[in-house]
Amino acid sequence: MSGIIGGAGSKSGVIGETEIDYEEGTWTPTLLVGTIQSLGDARYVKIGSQVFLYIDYFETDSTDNATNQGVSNFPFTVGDSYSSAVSVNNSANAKRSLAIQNDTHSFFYPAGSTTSSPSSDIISKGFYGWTMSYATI
Amino acid sequence: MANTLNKIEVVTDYKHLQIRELTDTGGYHRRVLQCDQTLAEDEHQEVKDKAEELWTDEVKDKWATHQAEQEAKLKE
Repeated sequence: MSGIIGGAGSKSGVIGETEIDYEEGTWTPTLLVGTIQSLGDARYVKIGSQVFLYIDYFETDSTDNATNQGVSNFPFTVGDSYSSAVSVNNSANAKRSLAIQNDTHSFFYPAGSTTSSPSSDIISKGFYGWTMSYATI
Repeated sequence: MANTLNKIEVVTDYKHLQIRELTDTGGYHRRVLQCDQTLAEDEHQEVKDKAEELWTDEVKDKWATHQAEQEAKLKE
């Protein structure tokens, strides 16, 4: 199957004979603790019921990174909690961590941890990049 | 609200309002409002009206219960 999804910035398209539900745009993430000091980019792409999110921001105040830190204000409702894929990268020590997502937000959730308290690896100031995907309603 | 309201979708039993707006550059901007949120004073009037209509005490109670269940699940 092959096809064209309109042109740049297109909102819908046809692959073969099937019209697909495609949308892209921006969203405004908010931190669960403190505020984003400097937002670089926050974009989404939705293909069918699958939502892909990307954000990057610079955190200058490490006190904003506390227990239960995370991101909320998603662009689409989460269809099935805890079934998402999330990756977080922190420039301060170049370590990646996982996060867990429920209906309204994603928590920092260190890989291998069974609690939502972040390790020191992911509470430093610096650049943060998140990619997430989940199914919406 | 600087952006132009483009679409309001009501989703789930908890009456989340999925808002799509058009930005100055013609792109889309998205957000979701839940019934436990306080709407901004400069929120679109249509959004305010929809929230007033749909966010009943019953819906708010159901949403609070659901969230409490989720928090408990996280601690398991």
